[in-house]
Amino acid sequence: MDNHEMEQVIKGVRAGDIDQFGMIIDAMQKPLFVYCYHMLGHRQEAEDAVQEVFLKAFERLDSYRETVSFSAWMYKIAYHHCLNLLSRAKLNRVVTFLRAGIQTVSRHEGEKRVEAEEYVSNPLHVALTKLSAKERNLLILRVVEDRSYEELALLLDTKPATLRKQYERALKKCKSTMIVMEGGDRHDAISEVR
Amino acid sequence: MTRSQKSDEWKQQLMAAAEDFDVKDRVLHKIKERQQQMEGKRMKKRISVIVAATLVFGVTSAYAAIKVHELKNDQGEAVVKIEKSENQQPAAAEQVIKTFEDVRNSLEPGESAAVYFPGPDNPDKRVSFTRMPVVHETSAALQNEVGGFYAVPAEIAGGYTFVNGHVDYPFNYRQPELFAEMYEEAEKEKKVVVVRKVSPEPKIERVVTTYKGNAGEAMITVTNFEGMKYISEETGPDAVVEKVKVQNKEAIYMASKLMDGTDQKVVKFYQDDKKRLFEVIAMKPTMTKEDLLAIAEVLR
Repeated sequence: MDNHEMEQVIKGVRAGDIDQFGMIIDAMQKPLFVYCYHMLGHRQEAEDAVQEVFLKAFERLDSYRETVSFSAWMYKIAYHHCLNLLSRAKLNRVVTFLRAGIQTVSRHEGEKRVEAEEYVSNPLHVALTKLSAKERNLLILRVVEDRSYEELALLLDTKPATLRKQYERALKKCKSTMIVMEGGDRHDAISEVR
Repeated sequence: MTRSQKSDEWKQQLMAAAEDFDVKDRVLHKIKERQQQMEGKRMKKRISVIVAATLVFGVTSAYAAIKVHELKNDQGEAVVKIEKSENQQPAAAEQVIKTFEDVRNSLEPGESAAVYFPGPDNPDKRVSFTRMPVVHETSAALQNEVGGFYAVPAEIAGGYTFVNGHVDYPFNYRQPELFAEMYEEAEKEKKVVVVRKVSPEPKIERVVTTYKGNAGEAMITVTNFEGMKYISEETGPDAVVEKVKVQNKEAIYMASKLMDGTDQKVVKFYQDDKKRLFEVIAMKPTMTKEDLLAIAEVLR
């Protein structure tokens, strides 16, 4: 959906046509799920998060201004929602578990254990869990969404040059993790990603 | 392998998680469900005892309830939710209250208005509503407007006699295009308040009456719950909220501070068969909880 089409859809939703919001969901749900999944490291949490992000976006639609793209505005909502979730103690424990590489969890967290194992079976995913939420946010938006530093600067209220440095640091961290996991096979590949 | 190919490889790995992901129907269903709930919900805030306006200042959003007191109907569903916070209830800025009252006073009887205060105190850009009702000086005149909804008593328990009364009609709180115009006007013209006349819906929302007796004045409001799920209110940590009995049913007594700093005492009870919420409010601090309960006990 191009910007003009999106503007028309937003206008329709603002006028009370809720079903037009379905077009926004169609356009945004997969990238938002990818974003939330890698921010949270948990499929079910990400699925719930995406739904909440859409609900928040719908409720706040009147406050959206075209100074940033609509998708960037959605990512901002998603970022803050994920940060809130990560700050909750329960989810923090899961992230800590992932970071520490501990293989066992309590029986009550059986479902999370399966999810966590699924997530950490991919070296790139493991590398993401080693990053801070801010770094993961930056890396996902750069790699998946191809966002420029200039656009990210508007979104994150940080200078493009600072973001570039932060992104490079995040890449280095990923590289280190993947070297450990794969014996250096991916070293060159990672260093070549933008 | 080129740099672009490597980037695509990472992107593919990250995107792979989203295959078959589809929450569209669930999200749309939830939105519609919430819309229906919103239509049946009213957030009521009193600026002062006199101005019982429906006021939705942004300060409500920062409010974290630690305890919710509920008044329930015969089916056990909450019709009043009183959210008590550990934080002091945020008072609206004096200037905002004054401006709001000025707007209200500028209206002709029977007119209503949407009021938008831009600025940091209203981060969610909420629009408030106010009205200048047509006030009747006799119970008979009020009865003409009220019709069969409620039999307006000329006198209530304790020798309190009718002073005046009016009918409130519900606002349409979902007017995105009007709100967008108001936001734009505030932004373009750097206004501190934007006002638009609005037309309420022609259904009785509430009947408000005032009575006078030796111990002071009492206000009685009767709210129509047809199509309404519940009313939500907020109080600070100093508020007293107690369960009491009125007409052999559970009721609520509440003593709290209003947004203008004055004290309010009120007894609330619900008539399930007629789908009406009664509130008996003390207009003078000399009135006691017992005075209010005595009035409530014989209201029909």
